[in-house]
Amino acid sequence: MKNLRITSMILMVFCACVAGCKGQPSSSETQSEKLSPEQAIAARQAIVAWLECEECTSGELEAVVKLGSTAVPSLAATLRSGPPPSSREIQREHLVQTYRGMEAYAKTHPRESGIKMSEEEYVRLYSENYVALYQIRAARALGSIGGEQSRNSLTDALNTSLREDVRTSVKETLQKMNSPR
Amino acid sequence: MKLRTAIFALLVLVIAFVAQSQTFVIPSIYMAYLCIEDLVAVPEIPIWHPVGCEIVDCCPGCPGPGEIDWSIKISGDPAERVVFEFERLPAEGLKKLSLKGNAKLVEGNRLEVGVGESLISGFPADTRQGPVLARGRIVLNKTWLSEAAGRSRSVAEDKAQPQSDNRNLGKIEVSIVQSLGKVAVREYQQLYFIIRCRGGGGGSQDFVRLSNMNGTDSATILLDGRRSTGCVDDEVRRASPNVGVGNVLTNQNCNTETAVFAQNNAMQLATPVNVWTSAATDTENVNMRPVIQVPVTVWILQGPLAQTQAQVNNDIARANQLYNTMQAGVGFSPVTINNATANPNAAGLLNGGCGNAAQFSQQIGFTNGQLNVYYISVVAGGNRGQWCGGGNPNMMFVGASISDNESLSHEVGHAFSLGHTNGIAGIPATNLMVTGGVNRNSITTGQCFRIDVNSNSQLNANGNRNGPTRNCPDATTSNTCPSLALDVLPK
Repeated sequence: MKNLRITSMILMVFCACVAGCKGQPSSSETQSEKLSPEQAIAARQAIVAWLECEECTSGELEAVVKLGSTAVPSLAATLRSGPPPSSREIQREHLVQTYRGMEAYAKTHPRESGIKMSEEEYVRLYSENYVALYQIRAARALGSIGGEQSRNSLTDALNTSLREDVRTSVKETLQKMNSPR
Repeated sequence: MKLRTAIFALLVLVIAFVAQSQTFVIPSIYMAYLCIEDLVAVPEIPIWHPVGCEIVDCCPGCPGPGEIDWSIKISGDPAERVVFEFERLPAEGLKKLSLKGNAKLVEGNRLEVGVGESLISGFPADTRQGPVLARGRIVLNKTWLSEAAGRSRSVAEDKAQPQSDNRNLGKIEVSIVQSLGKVAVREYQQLYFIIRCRGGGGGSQDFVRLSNMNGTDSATILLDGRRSTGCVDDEVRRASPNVGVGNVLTNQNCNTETAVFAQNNAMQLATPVNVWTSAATDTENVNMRPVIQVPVTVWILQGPLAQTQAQVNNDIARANQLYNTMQAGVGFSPVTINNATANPNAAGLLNGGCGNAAQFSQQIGFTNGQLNVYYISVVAGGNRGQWCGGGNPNMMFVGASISDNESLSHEVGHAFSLGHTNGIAGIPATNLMVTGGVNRNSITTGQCFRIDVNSNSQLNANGNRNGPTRNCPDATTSNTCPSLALDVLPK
């Protein structure tokens, strides 16, 4: 009987821990300031995994939601600004190299349908998509985390210049947040 | 006893919880194979990396805007030093950097970093013009290079020695961890493998002879058979059109097969191979065939039509180039593009996906027996792309508003039976099947094998290819299924 009680207690403590970790976060940026370097790295990796996944089927969004308010400032900044300059450079370099590779390939494979836009147009098309990807994903994560801080970030973003589809996505997220569940 | 059981149960639960909490990290390991013959002519390797964080505010809880430090580690006998030049970092900014370890400023506003660990502190996190870009070159150790080239040459010229698997001559590793204060904000690891690319394979030995080769590509051959040491599995050989394979012996109980991959040619799988004898004079003839063309139907829902059509054209061209240059042996033709932007049902499906498969096929259209790609706005769940698998393996989506230039190729990879490669040891960040990342440009030979022979690859399921099939899930490695990570960069 005593052992059963101990078992129950251990399980209760564990469940409380799980619930605490998964539940709605407590207020704040102060919480994020307390992250250890290891926790900050793990949080950053979780956010990047969500922002960049092709098909997000491995719990990428859930991992960010689990971070709660800790992730909100980073997501709000991403919604405003998109990917960081260094990531944009990596993307740009890849697009330029790919374009040139495809041009060279087309010369040796004239029967295949080649690329029909300039290098500049090609880079611009996918670079703009990259920015929209980050912003749409950031908006979605903010909507899933919820709370006043997230709502304010989304509302503020509507006062900035956003691509039309990103603006629509932000509006839809706000509507979902405002609708009774 | 019961207490022990309880503790055990708790441990199991904790492990399960931790496992569930793991996030899907995008790999940051890059790889390149370099030919010793080329390095002898130009004994340097270019290297490029931007200064900056992986997310725009660097990390949750980061100490705010500040200077970025580089912890850089260079290892490997072939490397002597790395010389960096910086764009968007004026000379005075360069002089302000704090250098520890084997880093020093040299003439011409260059930073030289020697082998070992060094710390470079004080990079500006960003400039008005954009991030600081480090463009550099790895200078090779001339003594090592000369010795390695000599070793390679003697193997290449030794007619008695069969072409060997052991082409690896050396490895260089460069890792850069960028930090803001104590927090790492971007990691990068680049591995360079220096190999012998040419020569060898003369003299008395068995051969695989490739006939009707289209083009002059150096084919990749995976060989199973028996040697004097016993059964061998997936030995990699590269040459064309005659590929020396040493002395392969009579089969006995060993699996024998030859899989041939080459640009501009379909993959050929010969199994079993009964030509090998104890003599080193046998020849296996493999009749090569043209690339298998996979018909594709595209449905454009996302307007404006001209823009999406241009994007489709780019994506198909990229898929053709990528799958062919990686020696998968498949191309995409004919491509039928349907304008569905004016379809009255299109607007309601712009953010749909596999959950609406029936609506797409009934209200937009679907061509049986071939790949169908729907270009919509953003795929359900905020996805860039989606392959439906299960009941609809010929159906896939591209979110034209947020997709990248490899999203279509990636989804086609799923239709060809491939899964994601994040977290799989030995597969670099540049692999096509990484979910996420921005520079996907490679397919392993292990993946090419699965694309071509898996019965659940739509290449076989749709009857585009006729030939022996297998069931090789990504995680299975056996004598009939090469490792997924085999030959990670075929070209």
